Amino acid sequence: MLTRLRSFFIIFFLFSLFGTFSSAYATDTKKILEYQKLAEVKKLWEERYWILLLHYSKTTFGNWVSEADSSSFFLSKEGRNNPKSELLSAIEAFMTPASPPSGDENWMHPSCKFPERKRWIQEKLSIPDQDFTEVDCSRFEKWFATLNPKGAKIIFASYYMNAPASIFGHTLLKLDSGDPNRKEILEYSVNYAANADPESTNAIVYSILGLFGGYPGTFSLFPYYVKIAEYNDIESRDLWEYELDLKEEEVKRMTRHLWELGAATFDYYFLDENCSYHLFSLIEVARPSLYLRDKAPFVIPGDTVKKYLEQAGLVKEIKYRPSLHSKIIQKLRKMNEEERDLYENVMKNANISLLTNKEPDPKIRTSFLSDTILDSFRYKKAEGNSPKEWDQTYKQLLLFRSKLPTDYDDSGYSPITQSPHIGHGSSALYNEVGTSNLGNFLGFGYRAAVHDLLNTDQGYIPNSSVDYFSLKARYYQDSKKLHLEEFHIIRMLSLTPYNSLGRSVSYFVDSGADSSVYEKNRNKEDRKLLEWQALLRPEDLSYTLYRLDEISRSEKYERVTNANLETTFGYSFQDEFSEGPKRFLFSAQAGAKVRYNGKYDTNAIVAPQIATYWIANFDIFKAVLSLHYYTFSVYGIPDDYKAQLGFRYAIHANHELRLEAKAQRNYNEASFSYVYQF
Amino acid sequence: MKRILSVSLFLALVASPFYVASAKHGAAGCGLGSVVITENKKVHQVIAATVNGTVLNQSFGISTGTLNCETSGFTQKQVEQQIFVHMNFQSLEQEFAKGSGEKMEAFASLMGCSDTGTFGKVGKEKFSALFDQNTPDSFLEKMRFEVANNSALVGSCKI
Repeated sequence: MLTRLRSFFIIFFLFSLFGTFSSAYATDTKKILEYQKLAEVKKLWEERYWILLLHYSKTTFGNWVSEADSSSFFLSKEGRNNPKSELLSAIEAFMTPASPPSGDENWMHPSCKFPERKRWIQEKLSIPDQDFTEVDCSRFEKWFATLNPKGAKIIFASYYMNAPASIFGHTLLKLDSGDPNRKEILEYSVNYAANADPESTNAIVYSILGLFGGYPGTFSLFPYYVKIAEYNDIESRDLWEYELDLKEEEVKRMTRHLWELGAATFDYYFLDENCSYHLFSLIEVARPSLYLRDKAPFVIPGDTVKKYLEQAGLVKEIKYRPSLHSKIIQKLRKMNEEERDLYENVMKNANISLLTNKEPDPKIRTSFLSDTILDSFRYKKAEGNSPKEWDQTYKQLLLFRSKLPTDYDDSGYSPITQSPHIGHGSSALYNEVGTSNLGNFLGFGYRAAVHDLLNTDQGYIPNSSVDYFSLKARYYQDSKKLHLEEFHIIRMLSLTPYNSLGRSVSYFVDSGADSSVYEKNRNKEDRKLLEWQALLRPEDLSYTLYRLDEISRSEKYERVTNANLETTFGYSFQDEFSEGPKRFLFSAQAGAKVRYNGKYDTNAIVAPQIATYWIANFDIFKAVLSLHYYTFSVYGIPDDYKAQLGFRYAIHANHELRLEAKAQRNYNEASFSYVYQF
Repeated sequence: MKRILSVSLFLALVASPFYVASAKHGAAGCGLGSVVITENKKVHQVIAATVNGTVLNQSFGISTGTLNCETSGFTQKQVEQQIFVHMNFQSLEQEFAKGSGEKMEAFASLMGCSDTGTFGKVGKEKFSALFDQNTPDSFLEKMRFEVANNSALVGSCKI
């Protein structure tokens, strides 16, 4: 009886066990299939939000491919190219229990790894919570609670001419928390950057790989003060903060998606798939009705800021966070004459006793001066421009300052740089007509980006130019030839004033092609030959004379295009510290030029050059005079030079009229052009 | 086309110094919790680098999604203060001498002090003592002592 009972019990137990298992298994699979079917009926994978969450974009052949380049970002093997299979796999994964493979402490269940995908699928298919497999996502929840996202800002770090990777500016995202007690600078910023190890990477490798997509780009979060220290203090770049008018739910969606991006890497391309491009993607996830990404071939951070502002009501507030350098300039501009004299005397030799031992003077605000001098010491130190002995002086001044009350109002400064959104468009079309000693011409030009020297400076670094991929071509009426006048792969000019704060070096770099005028030798040789012929064969005289006449009327000079590479370094001077607009700047530089053309005997010639610039800036009017002298005579070839004078009148930031004159060896021209920027 | 342009841009860039952005996170965890600092050499490097005034790279941050997130509240606060002070030591020094400033206020909030006015006043008064050893750690230690023991601060600070 007992045995029977026992075996019955065992059988019952086994049966029930099997029953439970199989029925649970059956229901789950059934449910998964049901939801997958429902998703198929609804064609859920075609919805824009799914496309955005997986970062799909259409190839030229009309196929989908995700911009994410790491397999860990997908749940299906075909996920990178197949939105449908990815969606069906996601449904299955979120409903299937799974446990970590041994030894992988970073493993997370797909539901925890992709919380926004799960939330969206759940909402779209109205799946009750209990149909998902039960998981512990405390790691994600903790992260999310720490961020406590409520609002977002786009941060623009202004152009920085001293590092090529930064000449187009940089954007990052800042998440604002709902915590009223958390100070702004303690909150988090989201950065997207190429993931390179600076220890083991040199600049050349970095730039090649950066341009070719050789680095995985990843998202990372930093306390905002880290970014402030990096940009404001170390690199002296002003920050512009654009507060977006996003709803809390939109920010939360975007933040959950940000967590998902922890599993993703993207190949980083400097020029299109860069930091600004991926921030667009994030904002589109927050608000899918925005279409920010599908535009220009290049994504220039400064331009992307404009796109945010173009969306009505998206940007609700703009704030300026000056760099250390800008703060000093701001203070200097607020100084009276006595104060500025004293400032300059102290800074000359770091002789702070001029300030600390001074009798009280109503014209001099001691704490104001002390703070400006302290800032200046810090700036010089960050630039590597201060002798070691100054550290002690700095300490003494700090101590002196700590005993003073504040006798000035530290607000109401105007920005030193301007936000990029008020600047002209970065692409340009040039249309010109002109006349020269080689005949009249019609010209056109194109610039992919960003800014040339005659442009208005609003929104850009004053007295600088970055021409990336720009060219000018001419059609000369007489020769009926199309001529490549100039071509710049990249041309950079930075004229930073030399002042008591820093001996900033100004520089010019150009690579591409330029023009010069070549005197035809054949012309001379032919003439000699014909003269002999006239003597030796008098019977053909009429023909010979006709030929001679033809030669004398034919062109003696030819304008040729040369491969060109040049650079100069020097100093620029400007009255930078006074109040009011800065009208004039002068710069003197020296360097070298490499010009290649098969027509030269030596083909490639490297020659020293000197250059000067003079700029007069009256807002809508601007005049630029530049002189370059190339000493090719070191090769026995005549020296060349280029003197250019240009006047610009801006009808509007994006519409300019220019009158220009240029003189080169054997060549002079004058032109009138209309420049359209977009 | 992109490739051609890329090569060409590269040509122009080779001569100049680069700021190379790096984003390796080591064992940085989650939340400000990245602050599993004890075992994280990278963070120490950054702190060291900052103190020396050299360019900091992006060696510490919070990785999204992939890494551990084990923090205990207490340690986290302490470490948060430590990182903040190391990162902003020069600014803090200057703002303490002045008695006001954004970084000083943020620091006050990290120390649990809501009355930044009093915090700034005390900091300015005790300036020479707080900064006499000229290291972020000694400053932090002294400031913690002040916050715990100063009669003016005790009321408005919650540690």
